[in-house]
Amino acid sequence: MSDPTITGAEASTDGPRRCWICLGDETDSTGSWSQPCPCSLVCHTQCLMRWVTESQREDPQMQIRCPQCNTPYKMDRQHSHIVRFINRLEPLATKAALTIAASGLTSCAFTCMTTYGAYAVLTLCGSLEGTRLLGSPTPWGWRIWVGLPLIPMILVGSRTPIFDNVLPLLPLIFVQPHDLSPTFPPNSATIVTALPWVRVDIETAVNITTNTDDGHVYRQVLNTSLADQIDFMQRRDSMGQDVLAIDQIDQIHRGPGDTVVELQTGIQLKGTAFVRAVDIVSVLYKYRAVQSRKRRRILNYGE
Amino acid sequence: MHPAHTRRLLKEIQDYHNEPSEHEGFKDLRPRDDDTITSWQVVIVGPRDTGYEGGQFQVTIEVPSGYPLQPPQFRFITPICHPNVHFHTGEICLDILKTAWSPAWTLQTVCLAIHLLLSSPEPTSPLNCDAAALLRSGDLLGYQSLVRMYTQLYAQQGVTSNYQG
Repeated sequence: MSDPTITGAEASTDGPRRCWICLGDETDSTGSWSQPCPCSLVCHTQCLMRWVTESQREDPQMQIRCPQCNTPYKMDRQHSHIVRFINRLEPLATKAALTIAASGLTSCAFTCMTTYGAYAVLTLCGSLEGTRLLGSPTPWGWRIWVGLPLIPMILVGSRTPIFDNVLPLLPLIFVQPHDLSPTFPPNSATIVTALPWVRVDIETAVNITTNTDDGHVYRQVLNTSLADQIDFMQRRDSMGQDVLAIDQIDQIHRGPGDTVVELQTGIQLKGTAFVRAVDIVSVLYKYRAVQSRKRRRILNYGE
Repeated sequence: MHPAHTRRLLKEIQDYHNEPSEHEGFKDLRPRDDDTITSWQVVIVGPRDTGYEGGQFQVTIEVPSGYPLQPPQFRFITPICHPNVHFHTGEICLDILKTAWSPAWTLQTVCLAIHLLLSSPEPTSPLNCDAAALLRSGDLLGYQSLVRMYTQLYAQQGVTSNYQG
């Protein structure tokens, strides 16, 4: 610890210097002296630091002033780079917290919905056809990235009349045109594209035959037919798997599901590394902050 | 070596006796007994030209071990009618005894501050709402009569009846 020398203290006081905090003077006390302001108050460096520490107990950023002339004391803080960096980063992080939380939740929801969408496609179309429809995840085109998360939303929405007007057109945006080839039996893409039209047809048919707006009956009919269609798909899927050639099985096992697992493992590893890094930085920050707090001192006036 | 607060209090006693200057506002500032230096007492003299004139108000001082970094606790023992003094507990509402404390104050200077508080009450932060209400509503005559009545009741020389809160 450096021993600051007083320049103007003797000139402004008569007799021995007297500490305004402990009232000890040069004749009956020891210690280095500080004169942090231009007025007549001088004090022991140690006493001053105790007073500053006591005053800043509740608010560490509080400006300490001379009780007599109200001059703010200047604090010499020798912060290390990491402390300075984090001190500057902290207010920014506080401001950004809401945005980060919101985007985190959004990406969470997006991931869940995309996963559900991919799962739905694989269940509905079967592993082989589903894998072909989705294509390799690197890179997925915008059709897949937008389409997959929309699947759960559309499935929920289709239970209500909200999407009735746009539902028949939606699949056309996301299904590649060359998938819609007229084959027999029709391929999955064609069926999915046709489903909403079937739904509209049934609705029209129900309206014509009953000539009422009895939504209850309509829903029942619709649900039965949808369930039948999905049942048909699943049966078709299992039939399809039976006739798969042996050499294709390996290919199925390396389907998008495995890629998702690999992706998740990667994210977990990176996440763990990130948390560890944050831990290390925060421990280092605390250590450095304590160090610079030990080393801080009030500057003499004019220093 | 004495603890810091003891050394400082000894200095203050020394100063009090060395300075023959007139202490108009208070008298008999001293530790209550010879054994403990952290319990003090003082008599605040009622300021002239106020309802407190002629009154002698006993005040106790408790000095915490953190003194002078922490403020001493002053408490009126003699009942006093003042907007910033609690009538029953004797607690004093004065910023320098709380948030505005600094070691630059001594027991002496705080006694002077309390003496001055008697002549300049601050009715916006009251501990005695009735006295403060009278003062705030501008009823100076009523306020001063009330103050004078309590001073004569409890604080006149020769009156020994201390309020037992």
